[in-house]
Amino acid sequence: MAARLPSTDVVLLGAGLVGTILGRELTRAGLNVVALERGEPRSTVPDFQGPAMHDELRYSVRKALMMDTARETYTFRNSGSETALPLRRLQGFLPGTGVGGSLVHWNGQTYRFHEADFRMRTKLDERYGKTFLPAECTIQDWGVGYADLEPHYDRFEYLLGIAGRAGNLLGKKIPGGNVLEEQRAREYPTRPQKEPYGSAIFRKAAEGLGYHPFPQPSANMSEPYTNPEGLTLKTCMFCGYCERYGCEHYAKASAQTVLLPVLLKDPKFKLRTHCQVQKISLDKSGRNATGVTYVDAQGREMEQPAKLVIVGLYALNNVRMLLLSKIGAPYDPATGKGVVGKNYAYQTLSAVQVFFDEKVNINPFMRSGACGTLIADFVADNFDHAKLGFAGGAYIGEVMSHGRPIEFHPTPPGTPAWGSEWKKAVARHYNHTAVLNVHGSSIASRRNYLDLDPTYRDAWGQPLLRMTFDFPENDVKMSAYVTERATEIAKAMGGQRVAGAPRKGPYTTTQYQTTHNTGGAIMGNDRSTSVVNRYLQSWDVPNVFVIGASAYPQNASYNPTGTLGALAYWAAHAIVNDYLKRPGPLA
Amino acid sequence: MKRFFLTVILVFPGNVFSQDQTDCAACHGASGEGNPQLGAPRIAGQPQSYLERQLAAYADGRRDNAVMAPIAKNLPPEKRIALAAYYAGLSAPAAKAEPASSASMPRGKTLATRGDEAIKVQACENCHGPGGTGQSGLTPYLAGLHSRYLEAALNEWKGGQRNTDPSAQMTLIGKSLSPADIKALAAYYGSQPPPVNVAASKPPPSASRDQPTRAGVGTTPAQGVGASGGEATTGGSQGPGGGGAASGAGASGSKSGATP
Repeated sequence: MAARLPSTDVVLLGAGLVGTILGRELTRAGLNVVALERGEPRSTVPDFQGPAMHDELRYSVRKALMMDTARETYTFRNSGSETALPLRRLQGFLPGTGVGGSLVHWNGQTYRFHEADFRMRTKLDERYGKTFLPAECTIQDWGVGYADLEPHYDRFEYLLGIAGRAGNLLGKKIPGGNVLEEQRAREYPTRPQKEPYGSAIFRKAAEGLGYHPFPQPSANMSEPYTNPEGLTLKTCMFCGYCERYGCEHYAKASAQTVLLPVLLKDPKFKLRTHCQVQKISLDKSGRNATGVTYVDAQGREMEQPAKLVIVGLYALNNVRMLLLSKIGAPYDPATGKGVVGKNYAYQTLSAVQVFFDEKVNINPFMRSGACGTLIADFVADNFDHAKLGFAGGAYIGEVMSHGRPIEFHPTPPGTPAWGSEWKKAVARHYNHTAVLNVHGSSIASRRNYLDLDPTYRDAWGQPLLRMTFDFPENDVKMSAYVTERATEIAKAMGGQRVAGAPRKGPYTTTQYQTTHNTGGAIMGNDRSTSVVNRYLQSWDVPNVFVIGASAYPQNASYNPTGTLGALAYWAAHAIVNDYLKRPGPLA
Repeated sequence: MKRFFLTVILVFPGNVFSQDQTDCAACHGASGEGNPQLGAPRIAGQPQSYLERQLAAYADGRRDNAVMAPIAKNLPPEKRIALAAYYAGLSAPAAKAEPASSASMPRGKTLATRGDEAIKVQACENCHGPGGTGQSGLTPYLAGLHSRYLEAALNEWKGGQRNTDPSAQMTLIGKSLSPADIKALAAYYGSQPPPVNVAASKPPPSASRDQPTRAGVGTTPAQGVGASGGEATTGGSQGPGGGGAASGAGASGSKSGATP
């Protein structure tokens, strides 16, 4: 029998990006907020300090900041005809855990999506005709447009202090920035990070081919920055330990550096760590959430009543929480009916390596998580797809994030995989190799989805989330096309040799690709095809908001976090300005 | 060539170059061991690039110091390089200093090795190396510099008389430290033994601009297991593009890495 705690206005599930932004906005609106975090409390000092933080074995290989798979994990299969098995070690993607969530260990690559992403279905139908894509592609519009989110992108970027250069300021194109971006109301809060040498070689080659290179927008600071919360970030030292690590220098925007110090001083905000939420409780009508049940660090079951429930977990866990709580109809791939778990998507990545002679020193160890230069000429619908037969796209960039000794061993094809020849080749190529990243979209497909596993359970006895995914044909074609363009740029960079290949199936979770899992609790304007409305509010239980990349109907070319931050502010704005005045459905 | 030149001046301390050395020695000691009474730091074994940068900064005013500015201004760039190389190669014991008050030592150690979240200051050792022994030719060692100098140096950062860090990390750190914190840090590092200059017995380091390797560094990083404790170190991030690509290790999906 759960111990019943005093009621609160709001309970936040997860104290990561979403939890801290919503926590700040809702306490500001005068509400009492309780945040429940499954992981540990942590702060820059002492938890992220060197030299311990630069322990590659502990953090990169053993994944010290990630979800503990001995307690809970996901099961995976490539198709509905297979039996899914649990991921006993995290490899393919890395959900964070603990205060700050995945924002602690992210790289800081912070983009805005395009209008063509938000209205993908409409735009594709308009430009290429309704029969352009096979029926298997369940691409949908988001229910919001770029113009809706622009002020919220702006707010998020200024919270984080993003280092970048505008390419489209209120319609005015600015060479050197991303001239293909949607228009922004003002310049980035801080100037771009310094351009590494390999990135400069890329920029010249891309320019020579007629493309439009620009510096990667970065949440690693190029200069000291004080955000609107009054918190100061310091300059990134290019240490090369960014993704999978916390920042020791207060130089990477994270919940710890941009919000938590203010939030934790607010008496209206209460943070409880080591709380494993089991489910959102509903009243008898099933239309109203009464709070949540969680298990605390001592194993006690606690009930936290609340008037408003904000689900801000990792994307996959948002979906699982809805399924465990029986909120919304689960998706059925056989009929295409139901919504929860639908349109799970990922990201389609490939890489091209450029091997230089020994006079060209790339210094890959001297990197931040989000430095470098890229082009958006093949992003979203920035190029004509009519004759290509696929939707979506990818950016191409020399945006290496590290050259860490355990993980980075570039060798040309034909090198033995071990032994003295391999060692010789690593020593020869380590400092003379640049890597181009091809970071591509992932369209929604009827066959890719999430549901509860019929067999495997977590340490608390709850069913695990089951992932069913393989790369859709559309994305394989996209990767083939854009990786070919990347290879052309790589060749123009003047290396001795170029090696790379497009993404092909089957998808494997044993090779790290990206942590950008999206969908499953998607947003939209039609309750029969989406889980949450355009304000991220559950269609079925209006006092539950589900905020995360789980809301993306399909994933775009760019990294998803910038849009996630914008959606968090967008939802918070709707809650504070509309929902609190008239609790109930906003759409 | 340069090596020969230095050998000459060391053997025959009567030429013009040695006059500069003698000037340095007047305050910094014959072997660069420093002089606590005069506030002159130990410079023996500091990274050559660091010493060069300081001389340049004294000369152009980024480091505002009434004693060093005229000296540095009178040194042509090639002499600054030669002097920096010379002192980088020395390994004199630190000059004896008055023992600092031990009351503030725990606070100094905390700031040095752990940092302080309340004032948003990270541990000194992130950049100045475990034990404050300096790193990679970029950051100076702090251990064994006498506390009078360290206090003055931190106050230069705090007060804006020193603008030699383009990242402004040191400026912000200096501003965040209270006068008591500065005294505590100076006392702590002043009490530590200076690093062993293992390259000092080797040929003069003017042949290489790298900082000599330092021995005797002894902090053990925390050995925790993460989500995948006990896993073999064959990470999933190999393959074409493994490691260095963005979004972590954006390995390509091909099996062979064949060029398309």
